[in-house]
Amino acid sequence: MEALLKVHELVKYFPIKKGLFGKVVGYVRAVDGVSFEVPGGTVFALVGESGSGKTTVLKCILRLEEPTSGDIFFNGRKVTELRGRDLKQYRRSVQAVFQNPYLSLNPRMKVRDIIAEPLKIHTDMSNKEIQKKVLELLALVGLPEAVANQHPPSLSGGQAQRVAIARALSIEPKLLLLDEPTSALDVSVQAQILNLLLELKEKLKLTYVLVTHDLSVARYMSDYIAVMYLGKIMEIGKTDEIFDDPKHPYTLALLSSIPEPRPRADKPRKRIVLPGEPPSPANPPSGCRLSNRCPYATRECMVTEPGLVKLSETHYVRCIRV
Amino acid sequence: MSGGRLLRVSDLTVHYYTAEGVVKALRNVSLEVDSGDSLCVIGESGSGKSTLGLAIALSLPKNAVVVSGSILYKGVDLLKLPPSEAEKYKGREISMIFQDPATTFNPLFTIGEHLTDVLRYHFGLSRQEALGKAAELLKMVRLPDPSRILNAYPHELSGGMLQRAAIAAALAPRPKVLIADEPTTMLDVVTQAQILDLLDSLRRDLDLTLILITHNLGIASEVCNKTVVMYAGVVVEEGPTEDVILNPLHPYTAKLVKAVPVASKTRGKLSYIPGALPDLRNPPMGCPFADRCEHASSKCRTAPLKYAHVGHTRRVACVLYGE
Repeated sequence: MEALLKVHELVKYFPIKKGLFGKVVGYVRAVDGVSFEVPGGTVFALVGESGSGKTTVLKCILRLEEPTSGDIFFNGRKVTELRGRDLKQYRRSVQAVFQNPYLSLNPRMKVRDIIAEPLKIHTDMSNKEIQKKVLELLALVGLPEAVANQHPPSLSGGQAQRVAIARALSIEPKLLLLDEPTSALDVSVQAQILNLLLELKEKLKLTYVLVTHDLSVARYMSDYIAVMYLGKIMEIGKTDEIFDDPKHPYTLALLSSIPEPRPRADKPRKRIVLPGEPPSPANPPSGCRLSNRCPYATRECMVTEPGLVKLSETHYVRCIRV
Repeated sequence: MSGGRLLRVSDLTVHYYTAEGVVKALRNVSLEVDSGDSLCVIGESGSGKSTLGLAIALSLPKNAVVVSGSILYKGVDLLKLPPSEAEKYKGREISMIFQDPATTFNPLFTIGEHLTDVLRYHFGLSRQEALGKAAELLKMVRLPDPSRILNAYPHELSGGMLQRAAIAAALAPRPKVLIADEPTTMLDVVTQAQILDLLDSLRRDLDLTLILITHNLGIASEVCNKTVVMYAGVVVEEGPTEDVILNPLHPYTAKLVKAVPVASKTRGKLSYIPGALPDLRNPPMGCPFADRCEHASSKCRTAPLKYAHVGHTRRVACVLYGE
């Protein structure tokens, strides 16, 4: 199966500048050698805490950030080299939905114009055709036509996020990047949006890359998961492999940290508590990035950076214990 | 475990006066908290859960008006106290922490200055004494290297460290009740687990009574022995946490439980709650959930809300129960 999106050894360092002349004194290693493939028609989740680099990966795919090194391939073509018309064509195929719809939608524009904007830029449809398409899109995301004449601030969070989805889908992209699409929403609304996204994926044969800190959302939505920590993928595999047979201590810690509605009697599987907080990506620890917090760390972990170890065709782990 | 009634909120009704009209944030809310309890108030945006917390902490904003009701703390009605008397309870007996610890602290002052301020105000300590005490408090909330943190400004600490410092400040006057309003919502899961562990062990060690306000059913399940579920300004259900979450009585609670994805279970379709919250400027006569409830009849929309007791420990505001 040919992957729709392929990220190969992606690196993104942000320079830290100091002083009057902006002397570079160091680098924030936001993404440090990340590789994965997303087969067409699947949902790929990037999971991690703040500072893990998951959103930077997304920005590189969107070409909002230029990678320091590494390659991104979409449909076999090198995304990082696209220019001019090819880049515009690529932007049409890859759209994004962000966390907070009140920030990603212009509050002064009517919903109608928000959804129409990509159509005006990317197609030569007539105004009449565009207006018809806007109403179709509203129906597609389950909004009444009356919403078309409202402004984003007058919408509820769930409605506003539906508008953001309609805008992203207006030009019929193949790949949708979802950056924490439900983190700003109430739980009952979150379920609506997640279900809507899954329905749309089937209906329109879409592929998703989902960035989330919420493992329960990742489990509900995704076919594959990559667990990131300080700019590196610590474990990657099919969603079931990650949840049923997690191997990396960091994955185990994440899983055992999720508070879950459950009976008092079946208290969590052995809880793995990581002490302290993630170090700064400007100054990651030597050796394994988790070595200063990992309960199983040995001297070797502090020295040698482990590579990804293959456990199955799809399941890889970055840990010397495996 | 519990050592007698500590707090009793009866028929509390709170309105906010806003430019858009009068918002009826709480309507006849009643609940009881025993000493040593950990009570969870669950609700979504607009449920009134934060207003309830602020009311108990005597910290309602200026545009809020308590229309009726009482908050009895150790038998004293906090709402009837003159301001000078209320100061003896506010912060001192009943303390509160919030979702975003960065807004708790003044960015221009160090953590040490904040903590010593609180200690000197409440205990009349000298600066030196207060500094020593502040370092102890930081140790109590498991912050490493207290002397460094005392000299740090809020922006120099991470979210998790700041929330620990906020807990230290809230606990400085040795309150009996700690109200925590979404204390981990802005934090990462691993840090969240650390903070929840900390709150739970502080509750035991300091004999605190904890009121935890959250939208997260998982947090309720792991931390609290009792749970109150709120919707559109009213309490819809109350009982032991395990019963409420595993065997919800009110249709709203039942729907909420089914809308939450669970990491330890494989995909079964999530159900969601159609419709939206009623307009709280003009809340419906009867059950506020009626318009979104599949069991609703005309009776639900007209009959005033009535609580039915189920067993000895549970209470639910739904016509499906009782008679």
